[in-house]
Amino acid sequence: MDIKEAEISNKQFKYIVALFLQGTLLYITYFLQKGGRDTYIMMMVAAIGGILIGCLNAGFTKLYPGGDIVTILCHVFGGVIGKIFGLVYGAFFLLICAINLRQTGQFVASNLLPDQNWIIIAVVFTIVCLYAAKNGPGFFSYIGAIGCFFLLFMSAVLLLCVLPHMDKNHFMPVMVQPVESYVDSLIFITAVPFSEIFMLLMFAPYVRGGIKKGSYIKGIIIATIFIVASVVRIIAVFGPLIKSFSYPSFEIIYIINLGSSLSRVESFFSPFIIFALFIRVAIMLFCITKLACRVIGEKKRLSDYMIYIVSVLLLILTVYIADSNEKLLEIMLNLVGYVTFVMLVILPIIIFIIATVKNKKKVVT
Amino acid sequence: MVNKSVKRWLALFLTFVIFIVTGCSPTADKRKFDSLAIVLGVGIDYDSSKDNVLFTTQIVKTEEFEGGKRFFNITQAGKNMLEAVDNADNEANRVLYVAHNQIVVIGRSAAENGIFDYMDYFFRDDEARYDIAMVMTEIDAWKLLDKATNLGSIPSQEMTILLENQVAMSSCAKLELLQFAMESNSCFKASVMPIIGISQEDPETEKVQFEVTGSGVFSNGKLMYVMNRDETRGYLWGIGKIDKGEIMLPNVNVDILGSSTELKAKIEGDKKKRLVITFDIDVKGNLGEVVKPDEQNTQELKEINKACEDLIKQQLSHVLEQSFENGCDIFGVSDYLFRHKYKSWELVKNNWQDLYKHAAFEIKVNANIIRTGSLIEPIFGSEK
Amino acid sequence: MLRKLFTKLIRSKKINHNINNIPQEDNSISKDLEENERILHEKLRLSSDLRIRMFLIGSEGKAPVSAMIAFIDGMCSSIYVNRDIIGPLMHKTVNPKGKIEDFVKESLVACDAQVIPEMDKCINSVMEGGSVLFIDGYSAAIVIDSKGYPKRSVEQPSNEVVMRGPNASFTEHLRTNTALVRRYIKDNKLAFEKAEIGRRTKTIINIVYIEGIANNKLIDRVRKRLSSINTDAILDSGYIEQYIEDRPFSIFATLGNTQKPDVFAAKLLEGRVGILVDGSPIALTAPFLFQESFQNAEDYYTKPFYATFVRIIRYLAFLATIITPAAFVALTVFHQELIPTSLLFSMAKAGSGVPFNSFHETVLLLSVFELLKEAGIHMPKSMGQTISIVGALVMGETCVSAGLISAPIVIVVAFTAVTGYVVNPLHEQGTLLRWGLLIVTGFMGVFGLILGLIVVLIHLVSITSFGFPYLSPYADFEPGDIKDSFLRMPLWYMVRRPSGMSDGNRVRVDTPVPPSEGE
Repeated sequence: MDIKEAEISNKQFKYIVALFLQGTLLYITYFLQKGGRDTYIMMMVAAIGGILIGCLNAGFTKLYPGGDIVTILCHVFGGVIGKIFGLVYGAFFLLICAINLRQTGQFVASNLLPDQNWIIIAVVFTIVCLYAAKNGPGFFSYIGAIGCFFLLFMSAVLLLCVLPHMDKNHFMPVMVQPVESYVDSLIFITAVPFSEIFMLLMFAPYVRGGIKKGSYIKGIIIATIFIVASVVRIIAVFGPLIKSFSYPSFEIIYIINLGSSLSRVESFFSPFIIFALFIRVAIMLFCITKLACRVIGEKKRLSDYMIYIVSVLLLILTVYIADSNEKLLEIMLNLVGYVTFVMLVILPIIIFIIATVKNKKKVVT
Repeated sequence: MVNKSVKRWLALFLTFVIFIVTGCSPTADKRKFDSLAIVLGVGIDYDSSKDNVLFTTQIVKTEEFEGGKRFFNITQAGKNMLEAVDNADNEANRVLYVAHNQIVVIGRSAAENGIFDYMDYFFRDDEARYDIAMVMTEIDAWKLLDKATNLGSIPSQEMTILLENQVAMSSCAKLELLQFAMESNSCFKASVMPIIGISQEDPETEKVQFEVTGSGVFSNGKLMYVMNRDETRGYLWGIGKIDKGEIMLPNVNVDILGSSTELKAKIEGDKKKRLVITFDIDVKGNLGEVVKPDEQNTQELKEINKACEDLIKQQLSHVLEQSFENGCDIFGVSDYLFRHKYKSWELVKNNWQDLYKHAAFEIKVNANIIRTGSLIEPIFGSEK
Repeated sequence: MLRKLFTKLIRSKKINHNINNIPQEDNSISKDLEENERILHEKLRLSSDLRIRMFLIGSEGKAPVSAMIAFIDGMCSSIYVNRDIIGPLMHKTVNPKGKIEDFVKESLVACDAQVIPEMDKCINSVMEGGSVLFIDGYSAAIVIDSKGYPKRSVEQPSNEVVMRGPNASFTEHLRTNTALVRRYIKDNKLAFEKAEIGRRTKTIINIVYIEGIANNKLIDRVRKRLSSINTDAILDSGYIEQYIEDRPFSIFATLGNTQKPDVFAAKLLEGRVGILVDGSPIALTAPFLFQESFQNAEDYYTKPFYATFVRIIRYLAFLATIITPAAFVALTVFHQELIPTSLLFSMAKAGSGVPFNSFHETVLLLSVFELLKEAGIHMPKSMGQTISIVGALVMGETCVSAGLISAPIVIVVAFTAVTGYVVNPLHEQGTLLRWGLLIVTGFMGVFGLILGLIVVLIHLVSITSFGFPYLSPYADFEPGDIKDSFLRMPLWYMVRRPSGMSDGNRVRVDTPVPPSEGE
């Protein structure tokens, strides 16, 4: 707690990683569609994949201390192509952010505020995330630990409240689906939440001493506990109905009935969910803005307004990304999972190999 | 350059304007208490002559009233549930607020015709609650919901309380909406819904007393057959939901302290598959009342145990045979096979009905009277 | 970028401490006594309370010398001047010759006397309450500290009364305040740095810290900010606070204030820097963290269990006071399903004749409460009873029976009011936050409430107080600092000073050992 600039330590970065992944509460719908009853097993296997991706990212920071995605791309592909690549990545991150924002808006509009148009909700939400992202990495580092424990606490309380309705028979039979569906769901679950931590490399210049792989690993473990607990809860309670609900991680709250007076408590648990979603979108907004600023060059005037430009683009993309909830579901399951896998898992591996080779050459010469 | 604080105030003002223009406003009248019709109970009937569903809502009167009923019912017809609900909205002149709904009453007509078509509304609606009770009646639902009760409360609330009491006394099993949905989506399980009827009706004041008369068995959303109270008891033994109640033997009454049931099933045979169901029931009891103490001494506790076991076996067998006859898997045997014996299940799932009708069963009961109350030997009527 | 521009506008020039802006014609003291008298009369012609006494030093001796003593009536203690300065000098038989410093050493009975050769400094001293002795033939004057202006005695504090612990309070006199602080910290490392701020008021302030404990960067920061104040008047420490605080546009204060010397001393011992302002009974401390609003002096003088319990209650009370009206509106307007069914019936019945929406009722009644509060602070004591009758009976009881508002809302507002006073330092902030959250909730229900709280959180996290994050120790979590936040561990357990604030001198006592039993 010294008087210091906006530098964050590895410990705080670990919480940022954990919070970023914990915000995927609404993605659980898609996981359940792909994985069915055995989603939790897929989740745990995918977490191992995520840890490997984390080690890969930590390798990047070791090769380029103090550098972020743009540095890496420019070094590997050369100045111009690197920046174009950077823009492509930026657009892709914007797409992911738009999907998240769309989900948030529709979730709030359908479950919490039924009379409201979801676009207004998305706009207000974006304004608040903008305000948070403007404060830079300092904000995320400060609320990291407390936010993480806040969400884990909610998870524990929910588990206790829902315990009477859980039935362990809903998990049976285990691992009886065809192998292709398991591979498919594994690709999806590794790609969609875990590989997105590639985005967090934009924090690398701010982390004191470079990002160590320990922080990635610990962060992923904390987040996995959270998500697996949610998935286990849902499967145990809903059994054969897991693929029927739009937002099972929220609808599970509908069945809580403590005593006979404390029921219908979903408005009570909604702060946690909205907090998790907010952190995720704010972190993504920050990363995209930083990426855009670095690609365009650090010209002062544009950089100051970049965050507003990015927010407007984000909102436009959110509106036009899909016509309806079902269309969004289709896009996610059939398209986005695979594209994310290619862009955020396969491509970084290739880039890493090229970067290592180039560095070795440099060392030799 | 514009001052930063001025910019902040401008942003705030613009946000305000956006809110007001787009209409999210706290002055929306339909959110006032006055304009809410609080629905406490819902009834579904089927009109076969017009192929219509009759939707009944029971709305509570919140303003001061002198006497008479504290509620009023609206019954509307429609081709499907949504149309009927819309019509009900129109008749009520207010927005129906179903978040406090406590019970769904299904009339006999709707039960026989099939209720799957009507259930979607209860889940898709944003005010849906999943833990409300489902019950059936032998008469029409709208008739049942119209009866004022002796205690003066609203029929839906009365029925809910009755159901809770009966469940606590292990006389029937509660069926919740979510449970019904899950069972309808599982392998072949049949749902068992309590039946509420009228026990006494005062001809002058037309006030009634409700009672649970048995249960209805639903398969694929249609009513297949009805079980009376004893058969319901047998069913509860099979699913292990007996925690209280009594076993009445000729000379002795046993108070039940707790019980547990384990269901196992397996497929035997190679060419001709045969289903064998095993029930393992463990009962602990308390000696409640001794009627003819002449025939009772301490060694006969073993005989009382044996008599309990026989009675339970008899009740459960009867229920099982009834379910075999009707081809309704009320105990969830198919689910058990699917979960624990997946490979065998895959082989037999296509001719499940045939398999179930010819299934064999084995019931093992272990009854134990662990306490005899405050007396160790009877005081009255025994020869000393 | 814009922020830097803006801050540059308000803190423009660095001012040095010598702000004697009196045009410098001739600042020297003349050897001729009458000339000096004329200059004094000219410069202080507007002060009708100026007194100049001419007398002879050594009037009983062989060669008496003319002398003049100048002072302001009311500011100077005339008894002291008569008895200890004029008296002895008049009756001396020895005459001043040689250097004036020798005269002061040998003949002047005054514990605080300085030789000053500049006229404007002498005039400043006269303005402050001192008296100046001019001796014929010397081109320097002797400034004697003879302050005797009216001052309040040390009383009980009006705001921070405790049941157990010292009950002294600072007064408006700087010297009394410094003495009160020294009573608690008798360490020679306790530093009092003097500075003078305010062109016309020439208010003296003292920067107080303990050398070796306080962070040097922090002290520099405080000094720098104080020296950049460029204003006419400093009437109260509140002025200083508003000039040097971190975020002028935030509702949260980044400088602490206290009326009690023991609290002030405790903060100094933790490594904070204090500011004492002459003329103000409120001392400032920097930095000020959010959690300090929830700490009370009494927490430290009682046993830890009750103190921890009360601390947690304070946090919950603050949360309750800002959230309750908004949560009530959210529940009754947007999310009626959360209300238990039977309560819903009675609320519907209670609200059946009322023309207003729940939101409007809440706004109305909260406004009435604010008006009552404001009236209550400033009314004369004789009218106290009228306000309580009007408030309770008319506003509460009669409005409900007339059907203007419904009964549940009165309970909500009363609860909000009571919890608002639990955490007194955050009272104003609580009120503003309460209104903000209420309005946001009115538009967007529980979602608006959550977003409002998130915005407040973002704002709190972004504030730093003199370089320290405002939400320490919760932000930037360091487990050791939790001992004094929402918990209050036993005193013998809190071995270290809060990290970062102290400059390497973190250990207070040697070992965390509970007092031994039975010895």
